[in-house]
Parts: sequence; structure tokens; C-alpha cells
Amino acid sequence: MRATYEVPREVNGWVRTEHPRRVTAANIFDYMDGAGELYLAYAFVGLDVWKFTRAEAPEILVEIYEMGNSADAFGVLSFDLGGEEVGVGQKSVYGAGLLRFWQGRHFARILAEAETPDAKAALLKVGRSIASDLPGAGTLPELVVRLPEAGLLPESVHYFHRKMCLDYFYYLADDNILNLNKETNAVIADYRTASGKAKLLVVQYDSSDSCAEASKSFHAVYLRKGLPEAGAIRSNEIEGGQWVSSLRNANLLLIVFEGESQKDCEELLQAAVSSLTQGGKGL
Amino acid sequence: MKDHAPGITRRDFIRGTAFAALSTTLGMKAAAEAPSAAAEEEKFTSTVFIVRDQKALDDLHRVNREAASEMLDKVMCAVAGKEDAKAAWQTFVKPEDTVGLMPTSHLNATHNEITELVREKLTGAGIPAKNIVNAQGRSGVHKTCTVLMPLPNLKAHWLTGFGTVLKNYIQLGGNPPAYHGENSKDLGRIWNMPDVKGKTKVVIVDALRPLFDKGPQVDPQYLWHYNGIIAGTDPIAVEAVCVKIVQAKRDAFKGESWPLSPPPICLEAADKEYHLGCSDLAKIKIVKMGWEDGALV
Repeated sequence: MRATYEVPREVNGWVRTEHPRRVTAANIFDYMDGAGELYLAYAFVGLDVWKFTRAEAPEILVEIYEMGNSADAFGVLSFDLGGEEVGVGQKSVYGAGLLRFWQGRHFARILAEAETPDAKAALLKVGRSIASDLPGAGTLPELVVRLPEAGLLPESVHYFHRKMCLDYFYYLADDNILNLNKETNAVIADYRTASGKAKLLVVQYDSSDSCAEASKSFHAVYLRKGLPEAGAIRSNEIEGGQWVSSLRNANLLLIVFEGESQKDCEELLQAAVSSLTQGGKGL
Repeated sequence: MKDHAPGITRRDFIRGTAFAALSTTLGMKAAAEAPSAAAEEEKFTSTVFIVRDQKALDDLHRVNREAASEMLDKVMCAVAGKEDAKAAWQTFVKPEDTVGLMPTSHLNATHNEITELVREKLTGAGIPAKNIVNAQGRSGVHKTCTVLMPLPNLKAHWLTGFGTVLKNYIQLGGNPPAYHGENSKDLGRIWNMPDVKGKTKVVIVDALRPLFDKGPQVDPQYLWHYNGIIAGTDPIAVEAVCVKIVQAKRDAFKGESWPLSPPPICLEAADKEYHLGCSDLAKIKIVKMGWEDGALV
């Protein structure tokens, strides 16, 4: 069932189109050929599109994406968390005439054709109005909430499911060596470490068997090694003096890439596994 | 368990054992080689021309038509090696040709002014207006064309790493999703299809305001005024130079290496597997004209 919300008819002289264009999975490529895959990689339900126009002023495009759950609405926002937080919805980012925010099961994207002071004021007003009318507060994905805080670079957090997203965030291999699919939950984020920076990837599988299978595949193809014991950290120095460390815990596979030392990688892995499994509940 | 054949991984790019030229362009190689002696004139196999004009766009990103017209004439004269613009266009098209224009149609589209100016230049060169058609899309119009003229906008692409010259023909392949993700390596195959092969005489890239991340859906924080037009007769060389420009912009934006991801493997595959042109920057001569500041190559 579609959520209902109000989009203001007029803001600061900009007037919106009467009715939205409705985009669904069936016709998303007619609307955005080459970009629809992003939304389909999450639990996309539908999209409503309005345009706001004012004479002699940049057009403002309003896109409200309805997702199947709030975690995926945040996930789409986390495609890029870079920008200025402007206090719209549960989290927002603004930059150069584009406002993006997350509210409950919705992700919004409001774009001025060109950034002018008037256009920015109008699009922020439109965004605030819509955000205040969108139903329900969403919850962040568990994997994101439980990331260790020390050293985390918040703008680098990406929540996703599919290989095509990982390829964009951090290309690992041509093959789907982590067995990612629409049911796997994953987060990748950058951390400051004692020696520099490192990248933490966590994948949550539907079972410990699936996790072991993916771990075996990763170690065979990426590291050319056998499967390590569950709970055992394996660290390898690879090209360029980089370190890669991994750990499998129940249905979670944790991998640190681009560590500058073995110690950095293993400390980050230990912090992550502790944070992700605190209370012994697992995820 | 899935029986994995050891395919290409990120480590191959770091080592330079796969897609060596591309991994150098992207700055992914662990120990980048110093520029080789291949930079000598006689080792160049292709030439790419870049013309830029600081006045090409205004603060609201509107195209200065006069400046764009001069840029087109200048770059086409350079590509054709002619003094006269009309003669330059006539090097690539004849009055009896049917010319299919291939602009990027939406999502960071080719500026209309560029497409219209090309149309005007072609009619000025003697091509009847009725013989100049928009061949972009899956309509099959390209099959009736004797010349296809790619006019892509310069942009990165989140699914294929890059989405400019090679990807410009994706609709002609009939099934765009079949060329996304890891399958993007085979974009070059489309250029060798019977209704496409041999029809591309010159490539003209709209680099006025390129997109250096997350294309095709536009996030304006990743757009910048490059104010350029890039052209050449070797589509792969043009693409390689475009990749280099975008890669340099990305590194400058972050202040550290920020390789295009996923790596645009279609580029080197178009060279090595489909033999469409040269992807190795060391073998490409770049001729720059006009505004020099921020050229990035």
C-alpha cells in the first residue's frame, strides 16, 4: 500500500506540477536508464516525481522513493553520505544544489537545476515540508548501529546487499567471491587506525554455513589460501605493503582491507567483532 | 560450494598483471612505473585533441554558443588536419551519407547546443538536413545510417566505472543490462556488430561540464566546468584520455588516490579483444588547444 504525504503546491514562487509521475520497478529504466539498478539493488517499491518551476529560475526536481523497509531507505542514502547535514528528515546531506534525506521507509532526492541562493532556500523548504509529512521514523540497520565507533569515518559508511554495490564502493573481483545477494546484509566503512587508515567490510549471511562458504570462496580466490577456522583471525600481507585480515563469527564475515600493519587490521577486527556481537546475541 | 575459477581480482590491478594499462591510468598499481620512453613521437599510435575555452559556460552552467561553435571548428580542423572547418567536416562525411548523431540522451545529457551545432556544421558541409538523424536509442535508426557520430557527455558511471564513448552505443546492442557490471567488459562487441562496424569516423565528446562520480544520475557536487571538447578518430584513445581526465579530477577532489570503481575494464578489452583502438596512454599523443589551466592531462 502506498504511503500518502503532502507535497506543497507552491514554495517561494516555485509551483509544482499537478500530479506526480509514478515510477515502478517495471518502468524505472524508462525514467533513468543506467541508474535504476541502484534502487533495484535495494527494496525499491516505487518513486514519485514532481517538478517545481518559477519563471527565470532554475527548475527543482523532487523525487520521493518508497522503499520496502527503513534500513534500505537509509542504504540508498548511504550510497553517498558526503555533504552538509541540513537537518531534514532523519538524516540529510546537501551539496551543490542537491538535497538527499532519509525518513522512515522513504528516501528523497531534491535537485535544483542550478544552485542559486533562492533555489537552495526553496528546495530546503520543500524538503522540510515533505519530511515532516512522511510517515514513521525508521531504524538504522543493525550492522550500521553496531559498527565500532572508535576511528570510524562516518561519511564513509555504506549499507548494501548486492555485489554491484560493493563493486562501486570497493571493487574486489569480477566474480561474486563473497556470494552477495539480495538477502545478504553488508556494511563497509573507513577507519582511522594507529598507522593510518583501513577499510572494514562486514557481511551478514543467513546462516553460519553460508558464511563459511563465502569465507572459503574469498580466501581461495582473493588470498589463494584455504578456509581458516571459525573465530580465528587470518592476516596476509599483499601487494604494496597492504594487509588484509579476516574473521568469521557465526553468520558474520569480517574483512579489513588496506591496513598499514597487521596490528592495525587485527585490532580493528577485534573491535568490530566485539561490537557486532556484544551481549552474545549475535545478529 | 561454488567452484570458483580464479578470476580477475583487485590484486591483479595492484600488481598490474591484468589490465596493466588501465591500472596505471587509474593509479591502482602498487609501484607505478615512471613514464617510459614511449612518450617519444614515433611511438604514438593515436592522437586525441582537446580544445578548451574559459568562456564556454557561464556561472549558471549555460553554454556560450559562439564559444562552443569556435571550439568545434578548432577541434575538427585539428583532427582532420585541415585549415578550413568546412573541409574538416567533409573529411569525415560526404553529401550522400546518412549521418546518425549519437548524443547522450538523458541523465547528464549532451548539451543541446553541442548537438545542434554539430547538425549545423554538417549541413554547412553539404549534408542535406534530412540526412542527419538522431540515431540514439533502440529504434534501429542506426541501421540506415552510413556514418555514426558519437557525441557523448563525459561521465563516470557507477555500474561500469565509466560511461562515455564505449557506452555511447549500448542501446545499439539491444539489451543494455547485458552490458552492465562485469559484462561491461564486452561493450566493445557492440562496435563490431554488422550494423555498427566501420561507421564511426570521428568521436566528439562534450566535456563542458563532466561528471566525475556516480553517473549517470547527477549529483552536482561531482560536476565541474572543464569547458572542453575532446575529439579524435580513435574512439578508444579518446575514451582513454577521458578516463585519465576524470581520474585526475577524482584524485584532486579527494586529495588522495580515488580510483574509478568498478574499474572500466571495457576500455582495455576494447583494445585487446575487440581491436577498436589504442587504450594505452603511453601510445596516445594528446594535443591541447585553448585554455590550459586545469587541463588535468
